[in-house]
Amino acid sequence: MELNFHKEEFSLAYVHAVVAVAGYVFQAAPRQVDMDGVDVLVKETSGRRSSLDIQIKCTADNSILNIDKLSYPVKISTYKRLSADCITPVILVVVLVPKTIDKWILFSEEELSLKGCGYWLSLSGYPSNYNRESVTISIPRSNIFNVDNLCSIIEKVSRGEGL
Amino acid sequence: MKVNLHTAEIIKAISLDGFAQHLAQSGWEKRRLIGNKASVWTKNHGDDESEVVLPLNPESSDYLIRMWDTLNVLENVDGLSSEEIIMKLASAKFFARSGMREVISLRLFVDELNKTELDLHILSSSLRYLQATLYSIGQVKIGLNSKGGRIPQMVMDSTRLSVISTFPGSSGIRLGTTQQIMQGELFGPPLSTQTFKEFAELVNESLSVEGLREKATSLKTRSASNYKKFLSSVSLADTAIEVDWGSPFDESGLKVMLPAMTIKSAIQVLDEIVEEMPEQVTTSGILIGGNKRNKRFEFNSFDGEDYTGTISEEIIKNGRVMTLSSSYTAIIEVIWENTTSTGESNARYKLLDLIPFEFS
Repeated sequence: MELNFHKEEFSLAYVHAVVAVAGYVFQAAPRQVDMDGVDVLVKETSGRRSSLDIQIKCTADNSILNIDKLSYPVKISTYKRLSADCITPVILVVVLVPKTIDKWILFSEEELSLKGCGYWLSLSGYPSNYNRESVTISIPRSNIFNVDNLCSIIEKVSRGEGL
Repeated sequence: MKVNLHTAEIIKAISLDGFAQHLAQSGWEKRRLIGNKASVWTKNHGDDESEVVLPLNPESSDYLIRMWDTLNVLENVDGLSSEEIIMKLASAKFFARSGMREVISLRLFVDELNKTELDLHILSSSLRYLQATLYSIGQVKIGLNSKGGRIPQMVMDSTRLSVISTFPGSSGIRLGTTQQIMQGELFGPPLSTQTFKEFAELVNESLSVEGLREKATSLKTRSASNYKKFLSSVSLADTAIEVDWGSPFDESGLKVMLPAMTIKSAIQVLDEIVEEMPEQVTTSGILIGGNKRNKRFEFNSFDGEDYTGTISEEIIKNGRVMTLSSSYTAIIEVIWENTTSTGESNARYKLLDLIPFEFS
């Protein structure tokens, strides 16, 4: 199996775990075709029934990690999609995993531990970029994709606030 | 919802107006708008409430994923498969491209009159005159007149319609040419495409008096007359009609909605055109028969056409001499009548004048 496949599946599992604990519905988009670059739909089951789209990337390249931010290159098509005006807000989640796959997961009778960390960013309102290939974006290291942050993102969406 | 490589194309082919109508008919209520980007619809079932988001613009950057999500919810809540919804709501363009043929969808908005059914005779006569209109436009496009006004076989073969499907829950029917467009024809629009384009433009021009007058005149009296009969049949339903033309050619296709009042105005304009512009044939030949008492004539033109019909009052009043077996130049009015159930029309002839023919 290709390493990229492992990364895709692992990062989906990471996001799924966070969404499940936060109490929202996790819905994976079909992967056979490109569904506007969306990998996961997250939905509230009550209240205003807010929803959020997520595009997930996974990397084992820890050189992107700086003191206070991640410098992550995205394809220009991804940048355009994530910064475009859309019906449902969309965020990018970059899951940074250890270099070797045998370090990605730890388990025992007491715990299952996913080794790695997801960082999120909304590119809504980002300016047009005329690069041909890719754009390097900066994600604050404080933007960890965890249960608390996901809940506050959904609350903001619910109030109609920008991310 | 099963997803394959065609899913994106199929979703893009869904008519959003039709989708909103489908939601309303299926018990969904429009609750709010998300700016000018989407509408939010909800439906109660038991203690639960479901919600779907319907984009307002197919160009939205998340159009596909929203539509996919909405189709999934409808599958679960309404028990209607995505395939069924797509068959009902996909645009004519989608069926044209997948079937490699010209497609026209007609939709009559009878539900706006709180009706759930459409009288059979309205639908049948509308379809009959739609076919007749396409035949006569096809004949204009190839520029050939044939004996007795009969539609040339190649026009009939290219523009004959068959029913692809009907729209459940509303009065709509999707029609396609029986003949497929061959691969080689894709280099230039074939007769069927040219004919359907003219028809769609004729419908579109019906929104304005001047536009209709110009377009109908360019398509000749027979087309104007058949189109008038088509609109007259539709107007019996007293509702708007939507005509959606789809073609396998990328740049081709047109969707037009004609409100009931516009249809009535268009019929008046077409009436005037048909009256102002009777089709006339001027031809030379031999007078075979002429009877002023029963006002009948028979004339064989030198180019092989036979004309049999009535003699005008003017010829009789003017005491015009009619010598049998003599050569004349005849001016003959042609009146088209749809007499068969296939949409073909027959010509009736009226002799307007006879001028002695002199061989040079």
